[in-house]
Amino acid sequence: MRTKNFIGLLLLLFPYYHSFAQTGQIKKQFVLNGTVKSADSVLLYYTDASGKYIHLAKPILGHRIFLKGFINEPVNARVLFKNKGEIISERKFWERMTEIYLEPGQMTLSGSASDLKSLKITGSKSQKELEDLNAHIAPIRKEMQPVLEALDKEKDHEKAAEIRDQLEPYNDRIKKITYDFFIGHPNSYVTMDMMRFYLSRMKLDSAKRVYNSFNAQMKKKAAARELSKEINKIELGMPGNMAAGFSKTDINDKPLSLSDFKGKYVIVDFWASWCVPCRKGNPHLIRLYNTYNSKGLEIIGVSDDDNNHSAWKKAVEQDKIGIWHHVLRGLNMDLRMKNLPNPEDISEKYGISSLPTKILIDPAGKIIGRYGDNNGGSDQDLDKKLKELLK
Amino acid sequence: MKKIILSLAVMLMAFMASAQISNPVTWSYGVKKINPKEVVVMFKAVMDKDWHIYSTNQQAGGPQKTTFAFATSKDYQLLGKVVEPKPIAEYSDVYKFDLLYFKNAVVFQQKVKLVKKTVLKATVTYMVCTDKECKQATEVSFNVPVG
Repeated sequence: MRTKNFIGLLLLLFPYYHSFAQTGQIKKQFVLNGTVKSADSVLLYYTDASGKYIHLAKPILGHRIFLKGFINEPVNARVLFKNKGEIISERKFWERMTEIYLEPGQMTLSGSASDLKSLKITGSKSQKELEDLNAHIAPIRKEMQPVLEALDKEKDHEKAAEIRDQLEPYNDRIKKITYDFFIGHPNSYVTMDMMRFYLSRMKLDSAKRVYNSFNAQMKKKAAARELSKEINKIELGMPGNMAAGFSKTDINDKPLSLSDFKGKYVIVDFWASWCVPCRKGNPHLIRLYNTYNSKGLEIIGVSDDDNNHSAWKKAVEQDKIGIWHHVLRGLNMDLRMKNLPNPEDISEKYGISSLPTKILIDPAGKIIGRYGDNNGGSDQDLDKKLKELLK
Repeated sequence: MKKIILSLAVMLMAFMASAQISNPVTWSYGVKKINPKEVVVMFKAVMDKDWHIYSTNQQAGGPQKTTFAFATSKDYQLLGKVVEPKPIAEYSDVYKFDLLYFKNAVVFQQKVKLVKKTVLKATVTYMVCTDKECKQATEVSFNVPVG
């Protein structure tokens, strides 16, 4: 009884409690109404206050739309208009959806469904932010349209790759505008939503700058906490930190600990039998090993083949890389999918999300290089570094 | 009666699959009603530039194929296997067989016979690579309202 009162009191004291309530006991209503021409029905897709995915379908009578529901904070939603009996082809379907932000309170949606660009939404601050961002990106999208069309028509694999390269400068410009938006709108739900998709394409410093600009309120949100967790993980495996220790049984059933290699330079090579670019890179790694092993370099291959030991052993044999040490990363898919920590997983200790990634550790056990992934250097950088260190 | 059938002719839905931090693939789903008893559930993967996912028919011993697992239910029956468009085929010197993969975007389809209105639970396991790197295999779960 006492506990109950205490919780009640807490709720009174913290009016923003709803922002981090996972169960969604606290709901806020949104109403979306307005006048929409050229459609018979409206469909709205969003995640509600209890975390449930909702698809709402309502007829449009006399051009009036009226939609309502419960959310506890601004949410990303999709809206689609259709006419009775209309069959929307699979291809068109994805184009016909309009991304919008619902916010608690009163919003209006007006325009013509036959011209999605004519749709005007009021009463949602996040929507306004999304539109500002899109307005900055739109001219670039228009510029790149001819290239996209050429790409769509090109059937030849090689030529398509060339055309795709032409898109790069446009994508870089879009990326820059989006990053500027993140910096300029630190407490926007649009920023927080988009960061999930941008983290893998950003340098760690940029991601940290965006996260650090969130205010205390935003940092409590589930999406921000997840972001912070990811940033911390990557940081663990960055140069300057002490390398996290691990102990495993190696491919020859012998115990192996990272600490056994104190006094030597070590490359921890994250790879897998199924990873085509990793396998292609093995001849290069063999050359490095042959050049520097006698000068104090060791390699520990950490393979993501926990669910297929024979594929792992076969790849080691086939690529003739049994000359160095091999262990498995210790993946547990159940834990990973539940987003629970797994202290046995070496990849987690180094924030590895992409293969191949190589971590270079000095004789004192400190990380002095990272190569391969988004936050690392290239193979050439590794070659240069080893040349400096091990003459 | 005719009206009802017409309005049910197509019922589609989509969403951004749950939070996918650091993942270059965005999944969404759709449902197409082909008659009162049968639907086609569509799973669409949109990949970032340069990334590809592997075919559901990729030969074992190399990159992991994309696989779909469906929860069994009294409310529906799967008709046939997952259907995919023709993948890009490229011979691999490393594995000595063809790699089959998709770039840009791909829609996988599964025909389903419905006993009653329900929610179809599906999980896709896939790995995604560029020419230079691979992301570790991951799973995405879908709860698709059908009927």
